[in-house]
This record gives sequence, structure tokens and C-alpha cells, in this order.
Amino acid sequence: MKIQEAEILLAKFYKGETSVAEEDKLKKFFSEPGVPEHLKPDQDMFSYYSGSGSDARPGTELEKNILQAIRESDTSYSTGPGRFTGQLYWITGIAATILIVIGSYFLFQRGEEADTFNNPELAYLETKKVLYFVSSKLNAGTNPIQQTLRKFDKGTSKLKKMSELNKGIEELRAVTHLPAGFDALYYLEMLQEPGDIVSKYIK
Amino acid sequence: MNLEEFKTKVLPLQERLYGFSLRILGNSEDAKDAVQDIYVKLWKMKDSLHTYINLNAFVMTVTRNHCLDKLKGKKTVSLEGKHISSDHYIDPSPEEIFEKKDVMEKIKLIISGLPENQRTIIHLRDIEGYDYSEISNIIDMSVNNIRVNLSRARKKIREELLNKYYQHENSGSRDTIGKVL
Repeated sequence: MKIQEAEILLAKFYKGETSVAEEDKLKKFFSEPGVPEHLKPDQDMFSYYSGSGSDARPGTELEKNILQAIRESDTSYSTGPGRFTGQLYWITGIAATILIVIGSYFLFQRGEEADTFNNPELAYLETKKVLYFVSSKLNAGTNPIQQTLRKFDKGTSKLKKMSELNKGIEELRAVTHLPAGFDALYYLEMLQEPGDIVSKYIK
Repeated sequence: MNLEEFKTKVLPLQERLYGFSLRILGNSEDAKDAVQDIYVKLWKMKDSLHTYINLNAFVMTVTRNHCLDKLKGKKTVSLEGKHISSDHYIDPSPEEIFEKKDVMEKIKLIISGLPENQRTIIHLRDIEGYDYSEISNIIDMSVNNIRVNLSRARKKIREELLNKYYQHENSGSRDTIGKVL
């Protein structure tokens, strides 16, 4: 790059108008020999820019420290809930055992209660009697329902008169012809106007 | 994101994070601490990291926010002002300038004296080589504003360099150039 070109780019650079590519060009220009005296300060600046990455090395122990810090934050983060789930395990275990004990107690007690008849035939008869009783009560209950149903039917038969309403509505359809009639009236009115004019002239 | 993925995608950015933190915080101990804290933060976000299209820019944003928070905390704690504050331009003392013969050190010092915004932009653009849209993403500033700040910072660095370094070396002709700029 010629010195003149560099000066033009440099002027753009100080105005904040250079692109990254143009700035790379300048960096290259200043890194090569033959930079004139009057651009020395600019050269220093550019060599600082391209070299300062190396003077700011954090050192190798930083990565170790980072990873350790991450690990520490991780473990302190995970032991909390871990301990909690451990406790939860015990609590659910104990609760389940108690439930099983109570449940089995009730189950066995019921089993003992079940046999009240020694003779199976007698037991059968007794069951039959109970079932008959239930069915008779059920029939008594359905009777009033049948009666109300009959009344309901009567009501609906009266509603059949609604079909006559339909006829009435059919007749009302004739009203749709009304607009056409209005149109005709409008034309009549128009006819009347010239009539007025003529009558004026006659006067 | 599992640990392996984290190690290959996020961990290699540590030098960038460190350089950036160092630029904002101004000393290496604080920068190292910050980088560790930032990595712990990022690791806690591991399940959502894959949703960021530009992971690099996102990580830089996290870094900047963390460092700025740290600076804010520091300001209230140490009123001595030993550390470079974020928003005020502190003129490096003449002794410091004379002590440090190395021009690179001088440039570093000049940059560290810039306001935080300009310092950050110079770092991201001229040292890390990010394009404007990425910088705009990282520091939440319009591209136009970034250009303006960048231009100011670049001019300031040159001017300071001329005044405080070259002037001592051979005063006279260079001084006038510095004034013109």
C-alpha cells in the first residue's frame, strides 16, 4: 500500500468510517517497514492494537480455576435437592408400610364377618326374600313415573297446532313482493313531476 | 448444553473475556475473579445458552454487565479512587508517564483513562475486531453512536500520545501536529 493511500485510509479511520477489512489493511501497512516519520504515533497505536492480545494473557491457572468454580457451584447446587429426595424416600417407605398394615387389618376383619349362616340353602332363601322385597319397592316407584309420562303426552299433542302457524308464515311470504310495488309507485311519482312543469307553463 | 459442549464452545472464550474484563476493571486480579464468576453464571444458564444465535456476542454482553456491576459496587466501597472509575476521565499523572518508557504501556494507560463507553468500544473494535452490529449488540448502543464514540476515542488516543509521549521525546514540531488534530 502506498503512503498516500494509507493517509487517506487513516483519515477515514479517525472519523470512524473504515470497515474491518480496511483496518486490517492499515494494520498490515503499519507492521511493515518503510512507515514515514510523521505516521510514527499511528504506527505505535496500531502495533498496540494488533499486539495487545498477547500482553493480556490470563495465565494457565485461570482455566483450572474456572472449572473448579463451576464444579463447586454444581455440587452445592445438587446436594440440596439430593438430600431432600433421600428423605422423601424414607418417608414414602414408612407411609407405604403403615398403609399396608392398616389395609390388611380391615381386609381380614371383613373376611371373618362374612359367614352368618351355617346352612347354604337357608342363606339362598334369605337372599331371594331380600331381592323380592327390593323389586316390589322398585315397581311401586315406577308407577307414578308412568302416570306423569301420560300427562306429558297429552301436552305435546296440543302443541301439534303449531303446524298451523307455519301456514300463516307461508302466507306472509307474499309481503316480499311489496318492494316491487314500491318501485312502481316511485316511477309514478317521477311521471307526476313533468306533469307539474307542464301545468306551470300552461298557467 | 452439557459440560463437554460447554468446554468446547464457551471455555475457549476465556481469553477474550479476560481481556475485556481487564479493560473495564483495570487490574488483573479483579479481572480473573470476574471471569470466574462470569463462567459460573454462564454454566447456570447452560440450558438456555443454545438459544443465542451469536453466543460470542452474548457472552461479551454478560461480561460487560458483570464488570460494570462490579465497578458500581467498588465505587461505593473504596472512595479512595485507587481504581479507575468508569465514567470519569482521569488524567495519568506526569510521573507515571515518565516512569513508563514503553510506548505500549503508555497507550494502555491512555486507553484506561477514556470514559467506559469509549474504552469498551476501542477494545471491541480495534483490539478484538468485532463489526459494528456485533458491538451494537453487546453494548446496546446504536451503530451511529458507536461510530461517533469510536472516532472520538481514536482521536483522543492519538492526541494524548503526541502530547505526552512524543512531546517529551523531541518537543517542537510534533506538538503542532497534535494541536492540529
